[in-house]
Amino acid sequence: MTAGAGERRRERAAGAVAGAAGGVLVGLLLGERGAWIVALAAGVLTAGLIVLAVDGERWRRRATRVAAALGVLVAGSLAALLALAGRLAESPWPGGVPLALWVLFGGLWLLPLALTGLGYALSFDAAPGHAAGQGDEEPP
Amino acid sequence: MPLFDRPVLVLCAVAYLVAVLLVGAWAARRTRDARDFFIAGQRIGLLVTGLATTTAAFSGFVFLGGPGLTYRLGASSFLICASTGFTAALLCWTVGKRLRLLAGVREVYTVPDAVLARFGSRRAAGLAAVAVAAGTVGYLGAQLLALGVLVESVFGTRELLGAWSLPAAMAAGLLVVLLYAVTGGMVAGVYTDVVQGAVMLAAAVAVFGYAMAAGGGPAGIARAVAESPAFGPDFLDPLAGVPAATGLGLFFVFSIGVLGQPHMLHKLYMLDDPAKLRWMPAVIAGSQSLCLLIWVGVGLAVPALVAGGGMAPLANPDEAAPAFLLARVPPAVAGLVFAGVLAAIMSTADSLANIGAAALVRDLPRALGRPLADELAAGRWAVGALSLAAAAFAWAYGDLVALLGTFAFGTFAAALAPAMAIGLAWRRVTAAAASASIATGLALSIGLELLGRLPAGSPLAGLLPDGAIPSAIALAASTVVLCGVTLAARRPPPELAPEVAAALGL
Repeated sequence: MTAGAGERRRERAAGAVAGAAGGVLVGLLLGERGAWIVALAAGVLTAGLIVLAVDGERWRRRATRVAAALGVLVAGSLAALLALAGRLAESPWPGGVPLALWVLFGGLWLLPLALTGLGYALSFDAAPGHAAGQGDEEPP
Repeated sequence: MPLFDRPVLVLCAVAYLVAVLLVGAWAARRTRDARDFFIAGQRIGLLVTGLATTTAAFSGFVFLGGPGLTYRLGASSFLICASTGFTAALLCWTVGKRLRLLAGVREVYTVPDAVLARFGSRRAAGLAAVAVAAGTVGYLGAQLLALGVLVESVFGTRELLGAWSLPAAMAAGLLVVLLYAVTGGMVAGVYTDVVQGAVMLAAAVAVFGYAMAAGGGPAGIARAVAESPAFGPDFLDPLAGVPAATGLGLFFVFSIGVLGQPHMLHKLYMLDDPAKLRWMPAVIAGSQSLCLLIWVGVGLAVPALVAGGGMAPLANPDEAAPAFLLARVPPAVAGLVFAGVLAAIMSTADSLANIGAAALVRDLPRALGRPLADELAAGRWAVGALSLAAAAFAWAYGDLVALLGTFAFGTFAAALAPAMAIGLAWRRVTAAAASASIATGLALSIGLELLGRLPAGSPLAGLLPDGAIPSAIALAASTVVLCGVTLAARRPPPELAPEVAAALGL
């Protein structure tokens, strides 16, 4: 990837972040009707911030995958909670614990904890600095 | 409760307070210059930095405010802590390495320093300093309020002092915070953080075990709460007991908002080697998740016990954790836990007091072009002034610890997160965009909070959407403003200094 391509990638990620933040704002102002927008936009915003921030070819490729998975987990879990809201009485209780709590602790907490803790460590770019354009070159 | 009815518990708490005061006094002798005072000499390793970040972030808000908020809101309150799973990694991905590298090439001790180095704008740095000082008053106030509730519970001062109990307890706590933070500065906080972190972790795990046992396990707790007319099944449903805007707003503020918390960002400067960031998210998120067991455990067990008649209903939800500890945990363990909670409050208060002081005596005067001659001495006076202002604000706020903490956390988030997370990573962001974003976040967070607290009959009272979290709206708006002003700029931002560009990868 050339330096220009790296800059364009950041422009696209920043555009996604801006759009997602706008979505969150509109959703919050709409109140109950905007809840689904907030849920989906929060996932996009979380992933977009990571994609915008990462640099270095190796770090970028691995981190982008983690970011995408995290975004799907966040948006999916919030959407699942919205779908379950108010229907807890009819939903199954695996192990005697309400399904909504499983989604909350599993989807939003424990899975992201494992995913990002390991994902960050495995994708970490230990290069001593962020030299300008570093890692935005074509991989060999 | 008589003052010394529980001697073991009181002895544990007092012994801890004496120990931290001694550490503060010892650390004062190691604080030789501003670099020591503000960033602990930049010689701290992975474990200490990670635990220091956890202990700075987790405070009376988590240990007292969290269970109290759960008692009032139900499982919706867990949307605050759920994001802990990924926020540490988000922090390190977006700003961690950049901030640490920046601190290696410039004299960067504070968040406004980083804003100045990145944008070259004294206006943006000055606005960031104002935001840090404003948020500090709220956040420090939450710590002092929590400290007051804790002292009141441990010493039973309510029966002795009546309505003056909480102010007197807060004043006692304020005195300890002042002695600790004024003498030791940041070094005092960091050198005690490993011990404090260990006490907090042990306390949280122990209390979780007692809470699960007292409530009959997760299934027993869920059944007792769901079948109770006072709580009902909606209590266990994160988006049923409150408006969806409230639950999602809390999640949004506490996930993305971490990127604007100066007391957490500040810790990243202290790391001795940037390569150690590799395992930082695992250390921070792992320790935070263990600490949060006290919130989840006590937050669920107390309503279950109240539902089953095992505890009396609480007059003040903030008493959930102290009431559980005093009623359901052996005195020696309760003493350890109270010491752990004190550890959490003290370390956060120390971090905040020093960061707020740096904003007032270092960042703001420099932004105004009038740096002070003796910042170290002025910093100690500023710690005192901020602590007094925080105590007065907390008393005037008059609500739960967690709600005061949410306001303060949200103010930091709305004002600083976009400029830090996006501004440090995207070359095109201009100084004007950063200034506009910080000003928007700060003004909206405070303005909407005031709007939300207007009496019901007021003509402006209905403007805020039902259930909306003010700082969530402010954070989304400040992010949109940052991106919008950047994209609307006709001229590209000026070139960065080569060493800053290299550190930030821009």
